[in-house]
Amino acid sequence: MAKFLRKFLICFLLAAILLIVQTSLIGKSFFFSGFNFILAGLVVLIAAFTYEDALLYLIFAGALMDSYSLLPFGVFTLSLFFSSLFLELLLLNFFTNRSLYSLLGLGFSGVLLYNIFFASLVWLGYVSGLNDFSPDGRFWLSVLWQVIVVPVVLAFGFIFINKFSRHFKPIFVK
Amino acid sequence: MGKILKLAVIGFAAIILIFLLHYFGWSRPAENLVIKSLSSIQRAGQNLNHGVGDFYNSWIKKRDLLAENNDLKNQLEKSLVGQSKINALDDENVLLKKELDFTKTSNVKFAAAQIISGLSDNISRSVMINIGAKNGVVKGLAVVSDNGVMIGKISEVYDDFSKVLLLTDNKSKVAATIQNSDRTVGLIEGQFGLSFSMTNIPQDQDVKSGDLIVTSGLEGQIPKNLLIAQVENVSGAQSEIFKTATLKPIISFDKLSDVLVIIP
Repeated sequence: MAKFLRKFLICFLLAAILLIVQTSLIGKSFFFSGFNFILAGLVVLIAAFTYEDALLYLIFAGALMDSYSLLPFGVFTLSLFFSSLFLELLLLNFFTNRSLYSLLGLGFSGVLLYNIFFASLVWLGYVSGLNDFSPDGRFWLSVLWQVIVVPVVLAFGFIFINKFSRHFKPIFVK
Repeated sequence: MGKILKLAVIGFAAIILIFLLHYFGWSRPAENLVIKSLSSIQRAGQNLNHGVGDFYNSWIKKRDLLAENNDLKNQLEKSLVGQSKINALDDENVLLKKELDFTKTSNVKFAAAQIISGLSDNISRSVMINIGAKNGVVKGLAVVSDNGVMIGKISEVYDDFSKVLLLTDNKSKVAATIQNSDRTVGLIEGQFGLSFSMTNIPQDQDVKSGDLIVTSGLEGQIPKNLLIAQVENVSGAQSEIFKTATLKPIISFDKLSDVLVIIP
């Protein structure tokens, strides 16, 4: 129980910190639109830790993002959730070792999956009249930019975590 | 794999629960609390973001201001050059007005010209003006300053330019009259580029310092009574037949820019 509570708290804090970094610390220009730290955090948790940790994290992160967003509540959470499922499947069946290229591959896949789910849900909301935003050209351009930036962020994350822990040491996933 | 699916189901259920809580409004107090507790940190983050942005913008602005400053300095230099040109044009305007006044009171025809080149060498005293045969200039015509003081004669003529032999040149000779009681007639000759003098003045002629020298009109192309110079002093022994009057120029030959050519 204590372990779960500790995990609960850590995931909440991580989600909050990454949310603050993403929404407040970095700029709002197109250049910074590619820095999806929430998604990067999810990919790292899936790759280096357990799915349970990732699930806790995404629930908190998604809920926080949904709270701050004007889009229909749940868009971010569901996008993260479905992405995490597919990423976990990819990790178990394809990127089976915790190497840098696995992380980058997961990152690349994560960006695409997340944005596809996000765009789909937003489009559903748009069609249902729940929101006015519909993915346009600029959105897909930012996706392309995310595809470039998120793996770079993950690479730095890999180096950092590899230096201070054993989570990314080259072992095969059981 | 089974464990993953199990966790996924639990996670999805939790998500649905959160949705329901939200849409029914039951999670609103919790949401308010979370947002409130994060808001101070977010505000600090925003301030930091703005601070960095402001610093960057001020750096950019400083760089742009420096570039603008350099640009304005260059423009100022150019405008100073332009201002000097304006001043020159202003002076020219005043000069031309003076000339106009002179030409209005005179009954001769004039062609205005500008000196385009100064003294050609240390031996001869000549300048180039910007009118020539196309303007009706011929050799031997008198050239005067803007206020009508004779300075030389046309020595060479081209289509668009002319050379003026100044009165101080050794080769320069002009028939002149002293405005004294005797109306003494003589010849003004240049003295090695420095000055000029009137020679062959009979000893019985009353010439004194301060007397004005004008053209005599004896040279067909040079009209009469054009002011040339002023007597500075008179030299010559009583035993000699003629005496010489050293003349003082009315105007400085070094500061000439606009002149008039008298066209008969």
